[in-house]
Amino acid sequence: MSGDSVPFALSASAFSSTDSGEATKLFEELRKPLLRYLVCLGLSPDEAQDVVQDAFLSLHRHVTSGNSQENIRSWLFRVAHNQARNRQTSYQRRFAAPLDGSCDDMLDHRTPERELLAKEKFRQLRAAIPSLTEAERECLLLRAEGLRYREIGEVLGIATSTVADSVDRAIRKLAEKCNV
Amino acid sequence: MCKFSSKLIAWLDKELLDTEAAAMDQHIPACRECREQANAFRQVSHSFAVYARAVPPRAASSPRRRWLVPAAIAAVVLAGVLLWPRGRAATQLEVQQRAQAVAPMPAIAQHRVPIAAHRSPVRWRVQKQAAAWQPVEPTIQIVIPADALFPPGTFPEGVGFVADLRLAADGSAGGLVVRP
Repeated sequence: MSGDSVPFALSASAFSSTDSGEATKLFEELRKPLLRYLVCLGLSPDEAQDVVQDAFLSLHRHVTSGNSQENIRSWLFRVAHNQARNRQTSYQRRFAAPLDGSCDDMLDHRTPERELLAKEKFRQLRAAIPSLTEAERECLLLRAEGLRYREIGEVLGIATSTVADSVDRAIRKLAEKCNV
Repeated sequence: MCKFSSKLIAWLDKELLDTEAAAMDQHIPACRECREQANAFRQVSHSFAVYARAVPPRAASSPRRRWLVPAAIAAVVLAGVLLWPRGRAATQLEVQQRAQAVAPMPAIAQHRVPIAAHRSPVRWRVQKQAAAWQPVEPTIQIVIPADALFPPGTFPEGVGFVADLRLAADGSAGGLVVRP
Protein backbone atom coordinates (compact mmCIF):
# COMPACT_ATOMS: atom_id res chain seq x y z
CA MET A 1 0.00 0.00 0.00
CA SER A 2 2.78 2.41 0.76
CA GLY A 3 5.48 0.70 -1.28
CA ASP A 4 5.42 3.39 -3.94
CA SER A 5 6.74 6.10 -1.70
CA VAL A 6 10.00 4.38 -0.76
CA PRO A 7 12.09 5.54 -3.76
CA PHE A 8 11.09 9.11 -3.03
CA ALA A 9 12.86 9.33 0.31
CA LEU A 10 15.79 11.69 0.13
CA SER A 11 18.62 12.77 2.39
CA ALA A 12 20.73 15.91 2.43
CA SER A 13 23.60 14.02 0.80
CA ALA A 14 21.56 13.87 -2.41
CA PHE A 15 22.22 17.58 -2.85
CA SER A 16 25.89 17.55 -1.98
CA SER A 17 28.20 18.13 -4.89
CA THR A 18 29.58 14.60 -4.71
CA ASP A 19 26.25 12.85 -4.70
CA SER A 20 23.93 14.80 -6.90
CA GLY A 21 22.85 11.80 -8.98
CA GLU A 22 19.99 11.06 -6.65
CA ALA A 23 18.61 14.59 -6.84
CA THR A 24 19.01 14.66 -10.61
CA LYS A 25 17.17 11.38 -10.93
CA LEU A 26 14.41 12.68 -8.73
CA PHE A 27 14.14 15.83 -10.83
CA GLU A 28 13.92 13.85 -14.06
CA GLU A 29 11.39 11.49 -12.59
CA LEU A 30 9.05 14.07 -11.10
CA ARG A 31 9.42 17.08 -13.35
CA LYS A 32 6.93 15.97 -15.99
CA PRO A 33 4.25 14.72 -13.60
CA LEU A 34 4.49 18.02 -11.73
CA LEU A 35 4.26 20.03 -14.96
CA ARG A 36 1.27 18.00 -16.09
CA TYR A 37 -0.49 18.49 -12.81
CA LEU A 38 0.11 22.23 -12.79
CA VAL A 39 -0.99 22.76 -16.37
CA CYS A 40 -4.12 20.71 -15.69
CA LEU A 41 -4.78 22.97 -12.72
CA GLY A 42 -4.86 25.89 -15.12
CA LEU A 43 -1.35 27.32 -15.09
CA SER A 44 0.25 28.28 -18.36
CA PRO A 45 3.21 26.12 -19.38
CA ASP A 46 5.53 29.01 -18.50
CA GLU A 47 4.05 29.43 -15.07
CA ALA A 48 4.18 25.68 -14.54
CA GLN A 49 7.87 25.61 -15.44
CA ASP A 50 8.54 28.41 -12.97
CA VAL A 51 6.60 26.72 -10.22
CA VAL A 52 8.41 23.42 -10.75
CA GLN A 53 11.77 25.17 -10.65
CA ASP A 54 10.78 26.95 -7.47
CA ALA A 55 9.52 23.73 -5.92
CA PHE A 56 12.83 21.98 -6.55
CA LEU A 57 14.73 24.98 -5.21
CA SER A 58 12.58 24.89 -2.09
CA LEU A 59 13.30 21.19 -1.79
CA HIS A 60 16.99 21.87 -2.06
CA ARG A 61 16.84 24.48 0.69
CA HIS A 62 14.63 22.29 2.79
CA VAL A 63 16.82 19.22 2.63
CA THR A 64 20.19 20.95 2.87
CA SER A 65 19.09 22.81 5.96
CA GLY A 66 18.86 19.47 7.69
CA ASN A 67 15.24 18.52 7.21
CA SER A 68 15.05 15.02 5.90
CA GLN A 69 11.95 14.09 3.99
CA GLU A 70 10.33 10.70 3.95
CA ASN A 71 8.12 11.28 0.99
CA ILE A 72 9.58 13.79 -1.40
CA ARG A 73 6.96 13.17 -4.01
CA SER A 74 4.04 14.40 -1.96
CA TRP A 75 6.21 17.17 -0.50
CA LEU A 76 7.00 18.48 -3.99
CA PHE A 77 3.44 18.17 -5.17
CA ARG A 78 2.26 20.03 -2.08
CA VAL A 79 4.72 22.90 -2.55
CA ALA A 80 3.85 23.11 -6.25
CA HIS A 81 0.14 22.92 -5.53
CA ASN A 82 0.32 25.75 -3.01
CA GLN A 83 2.38 27.91 -5.32
CA ALA A 84 -0.08 27.25 -8.11
CA ARG A 85 -2.88 28.32 -5.80
CA ASN A 86 -1.10 31.56 -5.12
CA ARG A 87 -0.43 32.27 -8.75
CA GLN A 88 -3.54 31.16 -10.43
CA THR A 89 -5.43 33.85 -12.16
CA SER A 90 -7.25 31.50 -14.42
CA TYR A 91 -7.45 28.38 -12.35
CA GLN A 92 -10.80 27.29 -13.63
CA ARG A 93 -10.56 27.94 -17.26
CA ARG A 94 -8.08 25.46 -18.55
CA PHE A 95 -8.74 21.93 -17.60
CA ALA A 96 -12.26 21.76 -18.93
CA ALA A 97 -11.13 22.60 -22.43
CA PRO A 98 -7.52 21.78 -23.03
CA LEU A 99 -7.75 18.93 -25.43
CA ASP A 100 -9.34 19.99 -28.64
CA GLY A 101 -6.43 19.40 -30.93
CA SER A 102 -4.73 16.68 -29.01
CA CYS A 103 -7.46 14.06 -28.88
CA ASP A 104 -5.96 12.48 -31.93
CA ASP A 105 -2.66 12.01 -30.20
CA MET A 106 -4.09 9.72 -27.60
CA LEU A 107 -6.23 7.59 -29.80
CA ASP A 108 -5.56 4.09 -30.91
CA HIS A 109 -5.53 4.25 -34.68
CA ARG A 110 -5.67 0.57 -35.46
CA THR A 111 -9.12 0.56 -37.01
CA PRO A 112 -11.57 3.31 -37.95
CA GLU A 113 -14.20 1.76 -35.68
CA ARG A 114 -11.90 1.76 -32.70
CA GLU A 115 -10.85 5.27 -33.45
CA LEU A 116 -14.44 6.40 -33.59
CA LEU A 117 -15.24 4.67 -30.33
CA ALA A 118 -12.22 6.14 -28.61
CA LYS A 119 -13.04 9.63 -29.86
CA GLU A 120 -16.57 9.28 -28.58
CA LYS A 121 -15.26 8.04 -25.25
CA PHE A 122 -13.00 11.04 -24.80
CA ARG A 123 -15.70 13.40 -25.93
CA GLN A 124 -17.99 12.06 -23.23
CA LEU A 125 -15.25 12.19 -20.65
CA ARG A 126 -14.48 15.76 -21.53
CA ALA A 127 -18.09 16.73 -21.26
CA ALA A 128 -18.29 15.03 -17.86
CA ILE A 129 -15.23 16.63 -16.27
CA PRO A 130 -16.88 19.99 -15.50
CA SER A 131 -19.35 18.13 -13.28
CA LEU A 132 -16.51 17.34 -10.87
CA THR A 133 -15.83 19.65 -7.98
CA GLU A 134 -12.42 21.26 -7.79
CA ALA A 135 -11.34 18.93 -4.99
CA GLU A 136 -12.53 15.88 -6.91
CA ARG A 137 -10.65 16.97 -9.98
CA GLU A 138 -7.47 17.58 -8.03
CA CYS A 139 -7.76 14.19 -6.36
CA LEU A 140 -8.20 12.46 -9.71
CA LEU A 141 -5.30 14.33 -11.29
CA LEU A 142 -2.95 13.41 -8.47
CA ARG A 143 -4.25 9.83 -8.53
CA ALA A 144 -3.57 9.73 -12.27
CA GLU A 145 0.03 10.67 -11.48
CA GLY A 146 0.26 7.62 -9.27
CA LEU A 147 -0.04 9.24 -5.86
CA ARG A 148 -1.54 7.19 -3.04
CA TYR A 149 -4.56 8.48 -1.17
CA ARG A 150 -2.37 9.35 1.81
CA GLU A 151 -0.04 11.38 -0.41
CA ILE A 152 -2.94 13.14 -2.09
CA GLY A 153 -4.20 14.07 1.38
CA GLU A 154 -0.77 15.51 2.20
CA VAL A 155 -0.69 17.53 -1.01
CA LEU A 156 -4.16 18.98 -0.63
CA GLY A 157 -4.11 19.24 3.16
CA ILE A 158 -7.12 16.99 3.66
CA ALA A 159 -7.72 13.68 5.43
CA THR A 160 -7.02 10.39 3.66
CA SER A 161 -10.64 9.37 4.17
CA THR A 162 -11.77 12.58 2.46
CA VAL A 163 -9.54 11.73 -0.49
CA ALA A 164 -11.08 8.25 -0.67
CA ASP A 165 -14.56 9.77 -0.69
CA SER A 166 -13.67 12.34 -3.34
CA VAL A 167 -12.06 9.77 -5.63
CA ASP A 168 -15.00 7.43 -5.18
CA ARG A 169 -17.55 10.13 -5.95
CA ALA A 170 -15.59 11.47 -8.91
CA ILE A 171 -15.08 8.11 -10.60
CA ARG A 172 -18.73 7.21 -10.15
CA LYS A 173 -19.81 10.53 -11.66
CA LEU A 174 -17.55 10.05 -14.66
CA ALA A 175 -18.57 6.44 -15.14
CA GLU A 176 -22.22 7.36 -15.05
CA LYS A 177 -21.87 10.23 -17.50
CA CYS A 178 -19.65 8.25 -19.83
CA ASN A 179 -22.03 5.29 -19.90
CA VAL A 180 -19.37 2.73 -19.24
CA MET B 1 -26.98 -2.67 -5.24
CA CYS B 2 -24.35 -5.01 -3.87
CA LYS B 3 -23.09 -3.97 -0.45
CA PHE B 4 -19.49 -4.43 -1.60
CA SER B 5 -19.94 -1.88 -4.35
CA SER B 6 -19.07 1.08 -2.14
CA LYS B 7 -15.53 -0.22 -1.69
CA LEU B 8 -14.84 -1.12 -5.28
CA ILE B 9 -12.82 1.96 -6.23
CA ALA B 10 -10.65 1.86 -3.13
CA TRP B 11 -10.17 -1.83 -3.81
CA LEU B 12 -9.07 -1.14 -7.40
CA ASP B 13 -6.66 1.47 -6.07
CA LYS B 14 -5.31 -1.04 -3.51
CA GLU B 15 -6.19 1.38 -0.76
CA LEU B 16 -8.21 -0.97 1.43
CA LEU B 17 -6.98 -2.45 4.67
CA ASP B 18 -5.67 -5.98 4.25
CA THR B 19 -8.74 -7.56 5.85
CA GLU B 20 -11.16 -5.56 3.69
CA ALA B 21 -9.14 -6.29 0.58
CA ALA B 22 -9.19 -10.02 1.34
CA ALA B 23 -12.97 -9.95 1.64
CA MET B 24 -13.24 -8.14 -1.70
CA ASP B 25 -10.82 -10.57 -3.35
CA GLN B 26 -13.14 -13.35 -2.33
CA HIS B 27 -16.34 -11.60 -3.28
CA ILE B 28 -15.60 -10.14 -6.69
CA PRO B 29 -15.18 -13.36 -8.69
CA ALA B 30 -18.56 -14.49 -7.43
CA CYS B 31 -20.46 -11.24 -8.10
CA ARG B 32 -21.21 -10.27 -11.64
CA GLU B 33 -22.51 -6.82 -10.73
CA CYS B 34 -19.29 -5.94 -8.91
CA ARG B 35 -17.16 -7.31 -11.73
CA GLU B 36 -18.96 -5.19 -14.29
CA GLN B 37 -18.77 -2.11 -12.14
CA ALA B 38 -15.11 -2.68 -11.42
CA ASN B 39 -14.46 -2.89 -15.15
CA ALA B 40 -16.32 0.34 -15.76
CA PHE B 41 -14.40 2.15 -13.00
CA ARG B 42 -11.13 0.77 -14.29
CA GLN B 43 -11.91 2.01 -17.79
CA VAL B 44 -12.91 5.47 -16.65
CA SER B 45 -9.83 5.75 -14.47
CA HIS B 46 -7.65 4.78 -17.38
CA SER B 47 -9.36 7.19 -19.76
CA PHE B 48 -9.00 10.02 -17.28
CA ALA B 49 -5.31 9.31 -16.84
CA VAL B 50 -4.78 9.27 -20.61
CA TYR B 51 -6.80 12.46 -20.92
CA ALA B 52 -4.84 14.25 -18.23
CA ARG B 53 -1.54 13.18 -19.74
CA ALA B 54 -2.37 14.13 -23.29
CA VAL B 55 -1.97 17.90 -23.27
CA PRO B 56 0.55 19.18 -20.85
CA PRO B 57 3.70 17.52 -22.23
CA ARG B 58 2.94 19.06 -25.60
CA ALA B 59 2.16 22.38 -24.07
CA ALA B 60 5.24 22.25 -21.88
CA SER B 61 7.66 21.09 -24.53
CA SER B 62 8.95 24.43 -25.81
CA PRO B 63 6.92 27.04 -24.05
CA ARG B 64 9.20 30.04 -24.30
CA ARG B 65 10.25 29.70 -27.89
CA ARG B 66 6.68 29.32 -29.03
CA TRP B 67 5.80 32.89 -28.25
CA LEU B 68 9.21 34.48 -28.45
CA VAL B 69 9.58 33.78 -32.14
CA PRO B 70 6.39 35.54 -33.28
CA ALA B 71 7.12 38.24 -30.74
CA ALA B 72 10.56 38.85 -32.16
CA ILE B 73 9.25 38.90 -35.70
CA ALA B 74 6.46 41.27 -34.78
CA ALA B 75 8.88 43.55 -32.97
CA VAL B 76 11.24 43.66 -35.93
CA VAL B 77 8.41 44.41 -38.34
CA LEU B 78 6.93 47.02 -36.06
CA ALA B 79 10.27 48.64 -35.45
CA GLY B 80 10.87 48.72 -39.18
CA VAL B 81 7.51 50.29 -39.89
CA LEU B 82 7.76 52.85 -37.13
CA LEU B 83 11.36 53.82 -37.45
CA TRP B 84 12.56 53.27 -40.96
CA PRO B 85 11.63 56.47 -42.81
CA ARG B 86 12.25 58.98 -40.06
CA GLY B 87 15.16 57.10 -38.61
CA ARG B 88 16.85 56.95 -41.95
CA ALA B 89 16.34 60.61 -42.77
CA ALA B 90 17.39 61.78 -39.35
CA THR B 91 20.44 59.62 -39.35
CA GLN B 92 21.56 60.72 -42.75
CA LEU B 93 21.23 64.32 -41.75
CA GLU B 94 23.13 63.64 -38.59
CA VAL B 95 25.86 61.87 -40.49
CA GLN B 96 26.30 64.78 -42.82
CA GLN B 97 26.44 67.19 -39.95
CA ARG B 98 29.00 65.07 -38.20
CA ALA B 99 31.00 64.75 -41.35
CA GLN B 100 31.06 68.53 -41.67
CA ALA B 101 32.02 68.90 -38.05
CA VAL B 102 35.08 66.79 -38.60
CA ALA B 103 35.83 68.20 -41.99
CA PRO B 104 39.38 69.19 -41.04
CA MET B 105 40.28 65.53 -40.90
CA PRO B 106 41.78 64.83 -44.31
CA ALA B 107 40.42 61.33 -44.67
CA ILE B 108 36.90 62.55 -44.36
CA ALA B 109 37.38 65.59 -46.47
CA GLN B 110 38.51 63.35 -49.29
CA HIS B 111 35.50 61.21 -48.92
CA ARG B 112 33.09 64.09 -48.78
CA VAL B 113 33.82 65.25 -52.24
CA PRO B 114 32.67 62.09 -54.02
CA ILE B 115 29.48 61.84 -52.02
CA ALA B 116 27.49 63.78 -54.55
CA ALA B 117 29.23 62.30 -57.57
CA HIS B 118 29.40 58.57 -56.76
CA ARG B 119 26.68 58.03 -54.34
CA SER B 120 26.50 54.61 -52.98
CA PRO B 121 29.90 53.08 -52.20
CA VAL B 122 31.57 56.17 -50.86
CA ARG B 123 28.64 57.36 -48.89
CA TRP B 124 28.60 53.95 -47.27
CA ARG B 125 32.19 54.39 -46.17
CA VAL B 126 31.62 57.88 -44.84
CA GLN B 127 28.67 56.73 -42.87
CA LYS B 128 30.60 53.87 -41.44
CA GLN B 129 33.26 56.28 -40.25
CA ALA B 130 30.72 58.72 -38.94
CA ALA B 131 29.24 55.96 -36.90
CA ALA B 132 32.62 54.97 -35.63
CA TRP B 133 33.30 58.41 -34.19
CA GLN B 134 30.32 58.21 -31.96
CA PRO B 135 29.79 54.54 -31.35
CA VAL B 136 27.24 54.93 -28.59
CA GLU B 137 23.99 55.54 -30.39
CA PRO B 138 21.00 56.54 -28.36
CA THR B 139 18.96 53.45 -27.57
CA ILE B 140 15.39 53.50 -28.73
CA GLN B 141 13.10 51.52 -26.50
CA ILE B 142 9.73 50.35 -27.73
CA VAL B 143 7.32 48.71 -25.35
CA ILE B 144 4.73 46.59 -27.11
CA PRO B 145 1.86 45.13 -25.12
CA ALA B 146 1.42 41.55 -26.34
CA ASP B 147 -2.32 41.87 -26.59
CA ALA B 148 -1.92 44.69 -29.07
CA LEU B 149 -0.35 42.31 -31.53
CA PHE B 150 -1.90 38.92 -30.91
CA PRO B 151 -5.33 37.49 -30.29
CA PRO B 152 -6.32 37.39 -26.60
CA GLY B 153 -5.07 34.32 -24.81
CA THR B 154 -1.96 33.82 -26.95
CA PHE B 155 0.26 35.02 -24.15
CA PRO B 156 -0.14 35.11 -20.40
CA GLU B 157 -1.79 38.26 -19.14
CA GLY B 158 0.37 41.29 -18.65
CA VAL B 159 3.09 40.14 -20.98
CA GLY B 160 4.65 42.84 -23.11
CA PHE B 161 7.82 43.01 -25.11
CA VAL B 162 10.58 45.50 -24.90
CA ALA B 163 12.67 45.93 -27.99
CA ASP B 164 16.00 47.65 -27.61
CA LEU B 165 16.84 48.89 -31.04
CA ARG B 166 20.13 50.31 -32.17
CA LEU B 167 20.06 52.21 -35.42
CA ALA B 168 23.14 52.04 -37.50
CA ALA B 169 24.30 55.24 -39.11
CA ASP B 170 22.78 54.27 -42.44
CA GLY B 171 19.37 54.05 -40.82
CA SER B 172 19.20 50.27 -40.73
CA ALA B 173 18.27 48.53 -37.54
CA GLY B 174 21.22 46.84 -35.92
CA GLY B 175 21.38 45.10 -32.59
CA LEU B 176 17.72 44.53 -31.93
CA VAL B 177 17.08 42.89 -28.59
CA VAL B 178 13.59 41.73 -27.81
CA ARG B 179 12.75 40.67 -24.31
CA PRO B 180 9.50 39.91 -22.55
